Amino acid sequence: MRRGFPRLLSLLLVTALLTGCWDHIEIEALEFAFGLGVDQVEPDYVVVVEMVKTSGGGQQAEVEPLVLATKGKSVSAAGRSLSNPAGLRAFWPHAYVFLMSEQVAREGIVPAVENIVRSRYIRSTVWVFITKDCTAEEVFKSKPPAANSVSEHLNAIALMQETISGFIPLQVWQLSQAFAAEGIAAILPTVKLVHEQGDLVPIVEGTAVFKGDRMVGWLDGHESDILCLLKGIIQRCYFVIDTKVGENEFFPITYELVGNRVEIKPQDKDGKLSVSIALDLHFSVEEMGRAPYSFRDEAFARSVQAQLATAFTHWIREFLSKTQQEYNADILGFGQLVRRKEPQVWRRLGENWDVHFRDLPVDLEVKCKVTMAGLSSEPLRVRE
Amino acid sequence: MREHVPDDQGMILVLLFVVGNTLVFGLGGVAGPDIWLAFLTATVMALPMILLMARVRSLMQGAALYSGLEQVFGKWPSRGLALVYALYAWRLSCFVVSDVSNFVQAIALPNTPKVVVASILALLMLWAAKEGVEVLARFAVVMSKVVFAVLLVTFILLLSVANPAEFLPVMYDGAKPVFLGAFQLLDFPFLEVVVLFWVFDCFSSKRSPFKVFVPGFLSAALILLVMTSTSLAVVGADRYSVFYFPIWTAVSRINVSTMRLEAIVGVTFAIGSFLKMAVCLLAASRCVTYAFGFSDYRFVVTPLALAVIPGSQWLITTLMEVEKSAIKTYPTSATIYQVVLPVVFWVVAEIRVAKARHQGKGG
Amino acid sequence: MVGLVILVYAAVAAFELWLWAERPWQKVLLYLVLFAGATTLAVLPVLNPDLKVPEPLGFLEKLLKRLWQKGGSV
Repeated sequence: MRRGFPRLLSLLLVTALLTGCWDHIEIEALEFAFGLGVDQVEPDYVVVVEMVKTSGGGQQAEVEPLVLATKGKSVSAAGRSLSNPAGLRAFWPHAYVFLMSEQVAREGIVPAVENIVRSRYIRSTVWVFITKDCTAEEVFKSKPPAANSVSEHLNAIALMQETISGFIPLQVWQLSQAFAAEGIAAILPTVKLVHEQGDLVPIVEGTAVFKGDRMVGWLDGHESDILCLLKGIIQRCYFVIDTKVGENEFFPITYELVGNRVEIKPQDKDGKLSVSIALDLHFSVEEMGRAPYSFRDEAFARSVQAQLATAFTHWIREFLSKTQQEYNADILGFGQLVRRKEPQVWRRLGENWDVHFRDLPVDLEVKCKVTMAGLSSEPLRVRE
Repeated sequence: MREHVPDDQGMILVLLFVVGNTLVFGLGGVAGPDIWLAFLTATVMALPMILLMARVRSLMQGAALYSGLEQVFGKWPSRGLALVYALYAWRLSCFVVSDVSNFVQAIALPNTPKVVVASILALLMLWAAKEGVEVLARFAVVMSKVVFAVLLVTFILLLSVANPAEFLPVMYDGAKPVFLGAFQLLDFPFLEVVVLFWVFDCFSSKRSPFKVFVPGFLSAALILLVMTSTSLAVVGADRYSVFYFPIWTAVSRINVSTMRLEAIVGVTFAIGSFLKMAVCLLAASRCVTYAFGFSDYRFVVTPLALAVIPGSQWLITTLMEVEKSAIKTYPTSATIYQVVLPVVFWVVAEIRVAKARHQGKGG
Repeated sequence: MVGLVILVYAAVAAFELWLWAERPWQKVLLYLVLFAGATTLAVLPVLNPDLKVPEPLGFLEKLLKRLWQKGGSV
């Protein structure tokens, strides 16, 4: 008896106290916040929240998006004050996306994102976007064709990046890493609105380029694909290239990127720093149209590969001159690479990296290979 | 009452004690990308102290702790020493309880008062300490399988998101950050092993202290080295020291469909912390009772455990201070408890044992 | 609040003492002294939330710092 009693008592105490009574929340009192947007930082924060109201239960549950906007002294204060008009407690752990308008990005994103990075309520896997030619509120109020809410729509697109291409999705945790690292400039994907059968539909395409925390320019979808290539991100983009076939005939042939290997190396020769990029690209032919040639013809295959290499070299050169001279933002992280591989050089050049980066010579070597031609080796023949 | 712990179980106990609540904190953050170097340096620096402790225990010729101490040091000095270490062990258990209750509050239960969490922990460790070191060691063995399995799985999954380039460049800022990081690690957790000196009552043989302390400590150091380095490679060298709980943050990057691994890693943290606080409480109780000349220690466990509840709230009150206590080194108290006293200890023991042997031969 | 804390601690002490099979006075004394200490520790922060943490080794730290600085200036 004397031994059993205290054990029983402590067990009872533990069961009573371990259930976390202080932190229980009734699910009926919650409103799931799926998306958060910041449209303005100065003089007041303008914060938009997309919430989702669920009604009914089980299989018949209906989900209805609700967009609320308010002004406040900070992102978190404004976000929380929205619980008041909503009449329900906003529940953040299920948030999918975080949007910032171009204006916010141009003025510097730190005041807008600080809360997202720090907050315990918002998961670090939230996607971050910059809105182009529209505000976050307009994006949240647009009508995605399939998804229930804009946030889910954008989340679905971000997850399909490998096949959709044209942007590089980024989550909050990567953002904090990208902005903290030395010798690399940050990028964020952009959202814009397009007309689709009378409705405005949000799409994700292109990239916003940052220097420090201020946006300095845009890259379009195609340039973003090049950026993907150079960053070594696997992305099965389609490239339609006017390919010379035979003597003087050009046909648009569609190539799908199926493999890319990049090697970027800083080289320090006699105190002169340069960077060499070696790209190894593998393609599959997706669509040939009327082009009358077979990939069994080795001479033809070689000529196609050479043309691909020329085209990509050209695009990459354009891309480099845009980032180096026009934006002067080291989004490929040459500086970071130099710091890691040639710390002595970085000690010398690191402080004025902007200046050195602008005129940094880049050696480029692009190898292209067509490894697949779909399921048929011969073009589609039509009897005359 | 002689409590005997087999070598392999003792080794696991040492291992889990060192790993304990260490895993959640951003240890060695000052070293930046050279964190692995800081770990290696700290291990090399701590090893002599560990060997020294094992040597003192083995000088006792396999006698039980109290009688062995009295053989080697004499009655009153060893009692005084016990009282001093009682304070140290008690304070350490307060720190661990406070770490856990703050962690729980920050991660899972923001509105639950910390005192409640601390009270439950105190109740649990009270029970464990009353059961004694044999039960704790067996518990450590059983639980170590869970801990190892979880750590192995998370390690492999973390590799998929880790970027080894984060370790470059090596020693960009010279050797100073490496040493600073190493000193952080020495204070907490490596040299806290001194507490364990007071926990083991008797060993299987004269060589046992070495077989228990050295491999236990080395494998714990290896586990910590591997886990913190991979976390750093995941969250990035620039960000590692910014997070309160970098390993937790790193694990939250892993996506295994919809399953979240953080909770599972939290389990290993809970096990390690629980074991560590129970061991500290046990050590404190043993030291107190020994200092006052009792042979049984169980009857003081309850008041000491109940003192830990306010102690954990009082010594450290906020998460910010938890981090400080984990990362900051307490130069004086740490040096005295972890280095000066053990060394004095050892020198005296060697001299007295040599003298005794000499006299034994002469007589 | 203070009364409640003291009451709870006293109740636990009394309860555990009741569980003991035998009560030699030395053990009871040490037990009660430690319990009194624990209770004081629990009561003090309630009475004064800003209570400073004692630093018994603080003087040593200061001494070392002074020595260090002297060494630096010489």
